[in-house]
Amino acid sequence: MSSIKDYLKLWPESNHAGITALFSDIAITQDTDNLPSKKFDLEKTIVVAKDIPVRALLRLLGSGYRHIVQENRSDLGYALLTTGMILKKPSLFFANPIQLLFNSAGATAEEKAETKTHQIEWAPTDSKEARFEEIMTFLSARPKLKNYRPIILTLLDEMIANALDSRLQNPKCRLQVTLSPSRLSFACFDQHPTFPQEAMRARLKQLAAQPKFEVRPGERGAGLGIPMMINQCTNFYLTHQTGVGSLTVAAIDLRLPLRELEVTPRNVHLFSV
Amino acid sequence: MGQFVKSFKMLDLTADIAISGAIDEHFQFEPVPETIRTISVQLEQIEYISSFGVKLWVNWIASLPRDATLILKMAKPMTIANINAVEGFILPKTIVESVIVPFTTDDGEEIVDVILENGSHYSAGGKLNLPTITAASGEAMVPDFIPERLFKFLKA
Repeated sequence: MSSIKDYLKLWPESNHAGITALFSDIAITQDTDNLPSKKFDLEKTIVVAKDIPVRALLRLLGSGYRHIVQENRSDLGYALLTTGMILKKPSLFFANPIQLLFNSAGATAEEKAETKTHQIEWAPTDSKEARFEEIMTFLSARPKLKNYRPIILTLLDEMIANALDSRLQNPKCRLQVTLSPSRLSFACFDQHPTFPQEAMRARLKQLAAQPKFEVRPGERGAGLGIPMMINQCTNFYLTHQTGVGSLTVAAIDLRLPLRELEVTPRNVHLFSV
Repeated sequence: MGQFVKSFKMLDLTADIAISGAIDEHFQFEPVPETIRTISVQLEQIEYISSFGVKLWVNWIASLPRDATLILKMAKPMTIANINAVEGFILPKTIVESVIVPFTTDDGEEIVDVILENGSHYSAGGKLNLPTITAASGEAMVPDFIPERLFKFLKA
């Protein structure tokens, strides 16, 4: 078992006391040999993994772990700090995820000034194509993002499909697109009062065990939305507050070329508020 | 909205299909006659494939004549990713005739799409022979994808 002391070198010494206090009741375990111990409180445990593939992430999520970050990424300190802050004040993340992510990244005043946000209140009657084009037009401020179009549209489709699930009587969602110099983030808030977390984890565990992903039979979707979303981004958060709704956040590190984005280990978080 | 455009040549027992746009929950695949032996699918104009679209695609593949040959043309990385990751995404006899992949300068500022062809640039067993691509500036361009990952299906 690790502790935050093993990672303090990631921050200036002046921050050590505050970070140690933040992590006072948070466990950190390493995913060594893909067999993390289950003796921890899963709600308050961060798994630090080292370049594990998406399938192994699904296995850990299916086993009940909530927060998985990757040791070999250059932003491990950011990931640990963000997760610590989420664990300390999950309601703050739920209320304003992008602000929390910015604050833990220590975004400079210049970066904040160059950050643009676009928000959509999305109803099921909205034209998906029209809304997608609205978002791509907003993102055209960064010409490089033209090459990310399939990634972006896949992410958006998955988020919106989950948010506007027709089982709700009057589904609505709010989508926030944030473009900063280093990151593109999507945050989707919906109004589903409940969240089938156990069924979802069971499905992820099932997928992790399949040599190739098998689509779920029956009338509903393929059951591949979460791995597909994880595959399109570098940081993935899915959380829920009973009676209020769900929040899905996907962030893409724009400092990476597409080929590195493809193989960069993912940080993933699946938890309840 | 995505489109499925088909043309059947019953004498040759071939089907030519072009798929374009978004393959999502609204996409409508169409059946192929049981007698068809070769199904060519042009994929260049696909925008993206959602998870529901993957399901529809897998169901369509399952409806095709089992011993037909599926020829995929101008497949993009997102389609190849599904071939590599999803059970039932292709027929047992499938040829990926060509792919379109990005090459980029080192700084990522210039990206070009390059067509790679089966037999010339890749072949069964995973053998790769990627072309040399040069930017307008004269700089050598590199694949903006991981060849061994993308062409994993060649080793299946």
